[in-house]
Amino acid sequence: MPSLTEGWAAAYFGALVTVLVFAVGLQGLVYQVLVPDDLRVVVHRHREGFTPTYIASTIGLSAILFIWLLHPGDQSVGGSWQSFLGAAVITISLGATVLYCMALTRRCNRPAVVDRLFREATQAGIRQLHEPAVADLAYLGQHGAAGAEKDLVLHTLSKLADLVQADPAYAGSELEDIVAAVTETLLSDEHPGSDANFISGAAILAKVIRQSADRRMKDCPDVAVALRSATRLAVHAVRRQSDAVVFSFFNLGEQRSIMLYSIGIESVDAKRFRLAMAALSKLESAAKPANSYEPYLAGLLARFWASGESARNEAGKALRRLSAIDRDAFARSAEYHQSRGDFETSDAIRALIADHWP
Amino acid sequence: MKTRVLWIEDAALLDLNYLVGPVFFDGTLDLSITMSATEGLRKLTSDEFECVVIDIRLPPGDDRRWIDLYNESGHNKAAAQLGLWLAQSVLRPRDEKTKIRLDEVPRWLSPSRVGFLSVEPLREVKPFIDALQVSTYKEKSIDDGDALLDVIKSVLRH
Repeated sequence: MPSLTEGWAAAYFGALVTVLVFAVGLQGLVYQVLVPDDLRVVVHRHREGFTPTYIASTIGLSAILFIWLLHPGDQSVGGSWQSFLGAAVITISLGATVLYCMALTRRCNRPAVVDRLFREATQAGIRQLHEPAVADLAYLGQHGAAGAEKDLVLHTLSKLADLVQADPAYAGSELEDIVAAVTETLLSDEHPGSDANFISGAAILAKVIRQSADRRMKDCPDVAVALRSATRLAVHAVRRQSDAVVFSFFNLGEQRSIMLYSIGIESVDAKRFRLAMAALSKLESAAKPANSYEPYLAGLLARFWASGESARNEAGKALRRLSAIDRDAFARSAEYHQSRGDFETSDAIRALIADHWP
Repeated sequence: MKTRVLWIEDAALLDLNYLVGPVFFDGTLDLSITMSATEGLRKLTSDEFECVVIDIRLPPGDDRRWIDLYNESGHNKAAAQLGLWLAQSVLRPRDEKTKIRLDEVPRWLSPSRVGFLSVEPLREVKPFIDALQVSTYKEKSIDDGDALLDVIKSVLRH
């Protein structure tokens, strides 16, 4: 036991604080360098930071032990067994730091965290997904870099959707959160998805729709949310992604008038007429007089009509092909769009009526 | 004076154009939206509405009691059915089945002012809805942009 002098206590305390600050600071530094921000958020949310805490405690205890053995300020410092023990403690501290780094790289790498979230999401059974785990997947998708990181999340969401839809008890309304996660992964403002990510997203939605149809549930709520999500993604893609991405949304197997109309209108506004013609063509194939496609077809034709001579020529050709959609149908469509706040389209339809049926 | 309507639905903002558009363009309705069980209950106890439309799959919001109920149901909105339990709390506050007991019950609220708009098939929730004596229920379906307006009109007819 050293003599308890004021000098000894001051030296003891100073050295202890220095070593503790070093130990904790080193841990924080390693954590920040090795684990990206979004993974840290998710890991903390799941209280998986226990390993670093244990290791930090080990480092802290080692520091106290180290100081106790060396007794700074005491004349006996430098004895051979004390030096040996001091070195051993320092080695343990460094070893703990190395262990900590290994644990971090093993537990907090992206595939490992995503895999744990996948297992957590399904732990209570396929029909009862653990929503916070799905929300964390969405968070990682949203904040992950375009390309491989987003694809990892999309692949996991796709596996989850497959499992849910393969369950015999699937009722057609369990996938809302998964579809929302796909949408958030791709539409992130900070890290928007790449073309390849968007095409993967379209494939997931197409599969949800196809598998619902296979189970005779083509009008179920999951198909509705998948189509709404596809519409948002496709409209976004018109402005920011390649033609191939937008075309991937034309091949969902099931299309709804409002989706084709929304893509068409956005394409006309963005002057991407190849896409606009594709949307018009698909709407035209689906339209029969007086069905639900009528106002959307009339609206898109009118927007073509108002977008320059070439577009007007194409609208004129379509009007000749669609003789069954007459003036009254266009007038009804103008009312329809006005009642939904789409005044630009209702005005365009009225202008078309005035030009075409003077 | 417009008819005051409250819609308690977590996806309301996503469905703004699709379902809410027709309600605003109806011209006679003053629509308020809340997106969780906690917020819905707050609104029901602070204001009065002629019509309240509730989604069954509500998130809990920040009230501990709703969070606990959601967690007990496996952190899943479909399993928790907080919309039904919210209706139970305000319509049948003294019933022994009621899980969340309120300090203040909105006395103006009766079953005839409540309607449900949700994805659950009616057959799955009918016993619960019948016990609440609520007569308006509509399943959400694809391309039915007037669904919310239909529920509101049905409730107001009652």
